[in-house]
Amino acid sequence: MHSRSPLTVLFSPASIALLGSFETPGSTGNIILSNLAASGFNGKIFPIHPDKPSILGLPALRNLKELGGTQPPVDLTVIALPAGQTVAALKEIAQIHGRAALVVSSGFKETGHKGAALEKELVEIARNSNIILLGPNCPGLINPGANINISFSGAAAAPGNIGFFSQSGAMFSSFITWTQKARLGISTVVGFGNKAMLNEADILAHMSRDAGTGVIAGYIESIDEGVRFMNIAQLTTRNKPVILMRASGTSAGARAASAHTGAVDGLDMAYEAAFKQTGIIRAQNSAELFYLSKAFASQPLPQGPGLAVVSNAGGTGIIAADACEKAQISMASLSEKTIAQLKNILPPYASFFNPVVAVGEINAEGLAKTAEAALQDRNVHSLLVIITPSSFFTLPQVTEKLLKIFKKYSRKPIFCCFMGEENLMDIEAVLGAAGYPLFSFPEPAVHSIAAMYKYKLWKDTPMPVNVSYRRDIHKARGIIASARTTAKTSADSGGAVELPARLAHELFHAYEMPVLKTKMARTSDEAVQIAKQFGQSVALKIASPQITHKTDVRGVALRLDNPSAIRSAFTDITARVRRLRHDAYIAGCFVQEMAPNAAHEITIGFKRDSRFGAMLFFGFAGLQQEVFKDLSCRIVPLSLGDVQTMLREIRGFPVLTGTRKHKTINLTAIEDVILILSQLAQDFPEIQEADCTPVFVSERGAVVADMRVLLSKSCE
Amino acid sequence: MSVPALYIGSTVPYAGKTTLNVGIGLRLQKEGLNLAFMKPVGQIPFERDGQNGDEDAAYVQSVLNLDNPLDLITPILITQDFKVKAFNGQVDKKEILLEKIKKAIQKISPDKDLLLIGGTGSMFSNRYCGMDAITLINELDFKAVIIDRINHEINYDTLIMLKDSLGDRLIGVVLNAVPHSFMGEAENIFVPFLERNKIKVLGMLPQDPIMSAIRIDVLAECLGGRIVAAQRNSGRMVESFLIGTMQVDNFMTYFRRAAKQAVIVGGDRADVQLVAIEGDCSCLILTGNLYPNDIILSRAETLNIPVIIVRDDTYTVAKHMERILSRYKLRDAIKVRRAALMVSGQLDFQAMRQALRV
Repeated sequence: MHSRSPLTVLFSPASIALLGSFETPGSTGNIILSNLAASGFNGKIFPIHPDKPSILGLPALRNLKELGGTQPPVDLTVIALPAGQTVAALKEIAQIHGRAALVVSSGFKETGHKGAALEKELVEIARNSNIILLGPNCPGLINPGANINISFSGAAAAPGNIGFFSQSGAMFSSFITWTQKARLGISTVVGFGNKAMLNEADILAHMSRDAGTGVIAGYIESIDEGVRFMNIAQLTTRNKPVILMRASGTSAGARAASAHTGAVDGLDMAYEAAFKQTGIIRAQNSAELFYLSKAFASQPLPQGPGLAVVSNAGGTGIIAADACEKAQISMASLSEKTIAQLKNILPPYASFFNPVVAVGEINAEGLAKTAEAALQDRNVHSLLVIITPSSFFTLPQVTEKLLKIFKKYSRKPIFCCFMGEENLMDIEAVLGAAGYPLFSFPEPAVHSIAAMYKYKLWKDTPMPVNVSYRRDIHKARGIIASARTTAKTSADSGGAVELPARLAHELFHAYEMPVLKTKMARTSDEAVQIAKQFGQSVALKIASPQITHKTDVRGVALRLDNPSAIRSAFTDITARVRRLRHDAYIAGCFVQEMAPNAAHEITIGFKRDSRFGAMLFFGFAGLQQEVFKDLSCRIVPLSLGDVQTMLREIRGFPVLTGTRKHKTINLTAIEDVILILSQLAQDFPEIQEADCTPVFVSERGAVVADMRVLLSKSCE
Repeated sequence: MSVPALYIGSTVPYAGKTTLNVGIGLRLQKEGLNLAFMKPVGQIPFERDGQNGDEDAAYVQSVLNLDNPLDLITPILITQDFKVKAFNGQVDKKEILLEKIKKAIQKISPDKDLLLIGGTGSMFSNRYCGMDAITLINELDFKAVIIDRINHEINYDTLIMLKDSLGDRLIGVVLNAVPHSFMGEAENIFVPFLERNKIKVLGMLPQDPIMSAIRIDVLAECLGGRIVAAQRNSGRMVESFLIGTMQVDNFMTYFRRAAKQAVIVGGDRADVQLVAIEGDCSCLILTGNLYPNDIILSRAETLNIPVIIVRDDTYTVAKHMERILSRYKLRDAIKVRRAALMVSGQLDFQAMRQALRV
């Protein structure tokens, strides 16, 4: 029985064995052992070497079996051997009942098939022997609190509250250097390399539980278990901020995954949606990843949106105010009391309103008093002090004065920005040691405060409540099963199978989706009869299983209000499509009631992402979607809150709230359509894609005019 | 039937019937014959000035400078309605339909030297309603010339079968799109073989890229795409296509091999797009519904290279292109001129006129 969890054993081992080549200075094994020895680790270190009795002053064992008698034998074994020797090494670890292995060696799946096979073998051994495996091809881990440095990085990381994980060795070592420079402390830094066994979800779960970690930051290129990662993140972000940078392969992402949902590029959109839904703060670049980590790690969250900016120069104050507007955080309105106070501190020609611009000749004392006046104000929830070079004070003087004031207001986040100074290393060290982040430019500072406030709002948002919609699930199952049977009989279906239009309509009826009345007419006489039944003007749309985009072949005619027009349109459409698409079977035309007047056309649908599951999208139909890619996306299941945010996220949202020609749209009706689709996606994992385009939305409601449902090939 | 009538049919659809109709018609008109034209069974319905007719028939008639009413030259129009009703046994019987055609012939053929009759689909098309070519030729006593498009080899089985069905009414056959590499084999093996089977080979039309070329604007319509640059040059012709999914170096190797090519390339492959534009391709077809970047658009405008954006992926578009280029109809002046020249130069008109007795 082990009392500690496997991940705790990995990150805080009591004993560490090392397998590698240690003799050569500069070799991997040599560096790792040197770093570990130098880190001041309190536990036992066992270098393993067949010949040498001691390595780097540490007593060495000839092999792991010599540890067999000790209880427990060893917590963590680090393997720094050539790839070909790692399997045998892991088997040895299994024989002595070791619990965790860290494989720094490279030469695995990153090199090709042979390496991948080797990696698979490692995982099998680890699984069968209950060994937890980090790597291979990983840069190691650092836990400064436990004086552990098992990595190539010789930089001495200080203990602190930032947990960092990385899929890149370069980001692993750079992050340590950055934190060192900014006097920030680290709880854990880990690189997971090839993620053969442990991946970002495992590390996130560990850091979420780790009491010493207050802020989680990470660099990833991909997420292996999207749904699991989201579930863990959803809970983690309620307690700790998670800041992630994802490097996205943009050209691959831009490539349309399927013709119909071409605007939904899948990969990066899914990551973006997953991050938004789970409260993960996405850093757009490496600088942002670092400065956001710095801000979150050092200051409390602002309790409101009001930011006060105090500066000794007018221009910088304006720059900060502009940055506030862009970052969607408000410049606090200072109270009359504060303004009166400021009038006593500053000369009459200073600016007493936010941004507060203390004039150029102000000294350090005056600036500190100004900052204090702002901090005392109840409307001020955070403070940014911007200092430009001045002849009336030195930076150490002003830093000292400011720090005295800052310490009195520890519950409000305070940021400093010293612009234009050449060497800020010492000042950054002083401020950093006191826990105040220093920036060289106002924009990153404002962006950090905005991110912190948004995160505060996220924390305060109640956990999402999933809504369940009424539907005839048995009927829906029957429809899908019937489509599967048809798919099996049509041997030519190489990829996904499209549900015939009739079945798609029936499926939507089973979900009580509002759909425009539609009937199939094989002849123009039938079309006239159906129009008579509908009792209003109708639309005709080509009915052919091979044609998805009816307008592309001019297969749609609208507002037909007499038999002659209907007959003529019927002949016209069927003849034209026959001419343009020789490969298409023309079954006739769909007769559909006309959409409500003055309705907007929107598109709602979902497609399945291999990592995250069904990704639902919403936006205006047509050019808005195809050219401007104005879509919002979320991962299913969706809460009502998710849907409401989705609607407001597209650039075209103001159009839905009413324009000169159009009244305010019934947003609840759109929410219903989205949530019904979300339900459908949850109920039927075999539905690969579903697309409702167009959905007509007006002040009276939303109604689906055309839909397309694709079943995955694997539904058999 | 008082006026001699020549039915132009084909072994397979899109074999070149319109080419032959136009070529034979123009040559015989030049030789001084007074012609009438009809396509008794039309299946490309369209409407003009309130009249329903067949698009091909109307086109051939306009090239031959004839102006009979559309519903007269195509008395039987196969619409969606017609087909569904025929399958349900709701259209007129064969005899009544044939009577309609006879009446139309009587109206358009008096004082004419020859009635040229355009066929529909293959010789077997529309058998379901009794309107196939074999029935029409035998029942209405037409003479026939059949065109066969070479697809790897000659459809000799079909031709022999048609000879059995038509007997002496079959004047002869024309072999179309014969590749230069196949010409010797056709002349030395297949022509003697057919003639031994009493099938006269009236001529062979060599494969010609112009005849399968298509205008860029028509191509865009067929692909359901939009032209987003250099629209003014969309009357330019495309004769072949090249898929630009390979690396630029390899692409260049293939690109240099043919002229008047449309380059089909993913909307995100700016490298290939730029090379194709600079290399004066006929047009760019960008797949995946992705808009090109500004550099591509402005270069395309400057160099007058139309850019078509299509929704489908590269593979699907290539499949469509293959079909379009092999089946695109004769519509452009350049192709009509070429058709007239080829048919006039390659066909044995003397033998044909002898058989027709005109």
